[in-house]
Amino acid sequence: MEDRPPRELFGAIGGAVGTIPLLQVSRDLASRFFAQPVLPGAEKRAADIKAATYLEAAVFLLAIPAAALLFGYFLPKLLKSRSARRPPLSGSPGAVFALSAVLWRLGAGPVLSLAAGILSAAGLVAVFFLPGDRPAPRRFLEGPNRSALVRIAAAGLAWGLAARSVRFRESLTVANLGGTLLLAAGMLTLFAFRKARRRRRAEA
Amino acid sequence: MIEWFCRLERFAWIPITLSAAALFASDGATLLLTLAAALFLAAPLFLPDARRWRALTGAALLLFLAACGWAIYYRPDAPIELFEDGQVLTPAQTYAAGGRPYLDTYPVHGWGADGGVDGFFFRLLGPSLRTFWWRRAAATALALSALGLASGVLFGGILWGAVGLVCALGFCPFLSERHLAIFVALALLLRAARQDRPRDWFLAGILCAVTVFVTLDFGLVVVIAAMAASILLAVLDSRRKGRGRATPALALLSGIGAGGLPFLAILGREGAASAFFRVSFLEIPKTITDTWGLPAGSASLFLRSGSPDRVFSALVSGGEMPSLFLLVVLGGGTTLFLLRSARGILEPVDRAAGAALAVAGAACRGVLGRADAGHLALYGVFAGLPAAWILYRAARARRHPMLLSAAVLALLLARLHLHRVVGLEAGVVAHAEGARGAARSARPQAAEISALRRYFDSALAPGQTFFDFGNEPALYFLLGRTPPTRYACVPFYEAEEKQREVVEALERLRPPLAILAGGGPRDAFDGVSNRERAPRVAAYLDAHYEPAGKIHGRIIGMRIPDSTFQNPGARQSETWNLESGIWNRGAAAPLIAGGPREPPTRRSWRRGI
Repeated sequence: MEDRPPRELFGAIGGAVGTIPLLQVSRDLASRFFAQPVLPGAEKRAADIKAATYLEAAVFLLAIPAAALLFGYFLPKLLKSRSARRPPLSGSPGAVFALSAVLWRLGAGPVLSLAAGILSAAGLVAVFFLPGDRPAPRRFLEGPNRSALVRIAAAGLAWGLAARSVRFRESLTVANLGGTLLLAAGMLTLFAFRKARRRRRAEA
Repeated sequence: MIEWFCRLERFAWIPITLSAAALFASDGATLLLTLAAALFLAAPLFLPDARRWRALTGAALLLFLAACGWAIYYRPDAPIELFEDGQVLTPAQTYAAGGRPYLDTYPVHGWGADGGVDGFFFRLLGPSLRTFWWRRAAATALALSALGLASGVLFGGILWGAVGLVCALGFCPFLSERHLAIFVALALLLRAARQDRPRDWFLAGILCAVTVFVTLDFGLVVVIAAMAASILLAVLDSRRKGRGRATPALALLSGIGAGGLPFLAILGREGAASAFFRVSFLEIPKTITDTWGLPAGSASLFLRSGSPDRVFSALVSGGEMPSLFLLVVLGGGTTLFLLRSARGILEPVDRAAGAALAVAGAACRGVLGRADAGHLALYGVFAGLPAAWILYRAARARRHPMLLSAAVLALLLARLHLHRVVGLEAGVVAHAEGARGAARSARPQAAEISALRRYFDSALAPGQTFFDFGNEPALYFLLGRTPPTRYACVPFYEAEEKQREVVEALERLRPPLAILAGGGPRDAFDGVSNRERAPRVAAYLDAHYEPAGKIHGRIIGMRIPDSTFQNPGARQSETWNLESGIWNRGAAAPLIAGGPREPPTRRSWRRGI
């Protein structure tokens, strides 16, 4: 918090927020693997599985801090070490990973949301490794690209609103929506790595 | 003049100590306070200017905290909580009479907490309520002082130590006497984490072991947390290399062994060592969640379905999931600790905060197990120190320290109401009449106990006893009778084999009287009736006891005479007229004291009325 730029703090926060869907994964796992109470009491009456509560607490106390450490310290450090000439926006993978919490709250399944978050973050990391004189993420924010970004964002928002509307009119489920986004994130990652490889070969 | 003023702070211990004495004193408090002010102002003029005076301020503050604690917790006029206090008083009575731990008693909260310590004082000072009140107030007052010590050790100073203490009291405004051992162990553990010397780890280990035998749940919390802290700090600290990394854990383990040996020796002499291990580490963990657990709510469900403002509101107000704030504080603290350790900038205060986080994390088991407000306070108190440490780090951040600390402070004030806590504690100290020996009002409870005592003394011979099925174990102590079983209340014997044990004991001793129902909420903890919790025992009582009267809401059952057993002391065919004080031979129904006029029937008892 003292020496690092705030971007990495955002990375840590994003990593922590993005891990929240793991709470539901832990609860679902506990419901599957732990038995209900046997002796009479409030737990049996409520059909509560205490192990699920403890696993949720473990996510709060262990998994979320670990994710914050990964996205707020280790990943930025790795990115810096791999691209010494061009310091990247090192906190952004964490910020992108937070997408998983957004998807989860929109109704996507927790595993799907986490996978989407991880793939999105991985896609962004791949972007950092694209060769060139200037770091790729910064190029996005330069000159005419800004207006392009605004248009892309407008397109994304329109698509999102339309998807919400279609969800009510037709049977487009949120899980399908998450799947579409997941597929898009996966394709982005694949193309980014492929492009990076081709450029490296061309440079070589 | 300026020199006098500069030297003044070294003598702050004088007014603090004398103010503590004024809180303790029943007479002459005004004189003490006058003396405090006079000596404080005059001390720089006649006492030598030595730096060691300054070191006394911390000790004086701890004494003052203990005095405040005494003023808050010494309440000889408070009513006896027949369930909570009964779990202490009745086993203590058993120990004072030569009973053996874990064989004649069933200490769920630990040997010391469930009567062990009071049994010792009962033997020393006599088994009386005064001894119990005195011991409990002293232990709780010292717990407050020990919490202050732990906070001071964590931050290494008075100012932040006070902030930590207030944060901890924000989670738990009124401490329990059971906190004493773990707070002392916590203080030593934090010292060990700060100093990282084998000797300190060893001492912390000794106190951890003592805590296990005094308060089992807190003992397990501090042992697990201390082991985790000793290993993690050694691994995360870049100063330690190779085999040196095992030194803290080994020293801690040695301390735990050394601290546990005397207790194990005593238990071995009583023949109760194996029972201690069986009850503490097998039976209780197996049944405690089922019998006493309360659902804590689902964080995932809440975080997913709630709107952001509702989630934030619940975080601040604690409405839908009271433990959420605690989990967020501990998660945030752990993140901060890991980030600092990864960057290799762990200072002594951070190391101690790591140990405090481990203790608070392990205590989550208690917060989430029986998830009510009382247990959130009882076990959540440990999160106060990490919360204060987050504020400490925010205030020392290189970038935007004001903004960060204001944000953290706002959150703490909103959730823990720190401003109100200070006022509340100070108000209770200021208005503590009991501590100064003020006149005590007669308690309605005294009349209730007297009525019960008259009835039971008339119905039972001196050596006889009764059976309580109303979860009021304190009645055994207050009525001067020996409990027929080792279990203090119904939820302790819910397991099938334990119900059989209780029925066997009842069949063997055949108590002439039984309290079939207490007539209050204790008949159905958490909405689950005693009959539902222990159906075999309830069936036995149905078969062998007939409702015979009602005293202050309690349904008293008389044992039905049978051909195999005639109790010489009991007067089964008689009923007691509480108002006239005479026995009515063959009367149809007794007069009722303190309850409805209809005589209780077997059916009404079965319905739980």
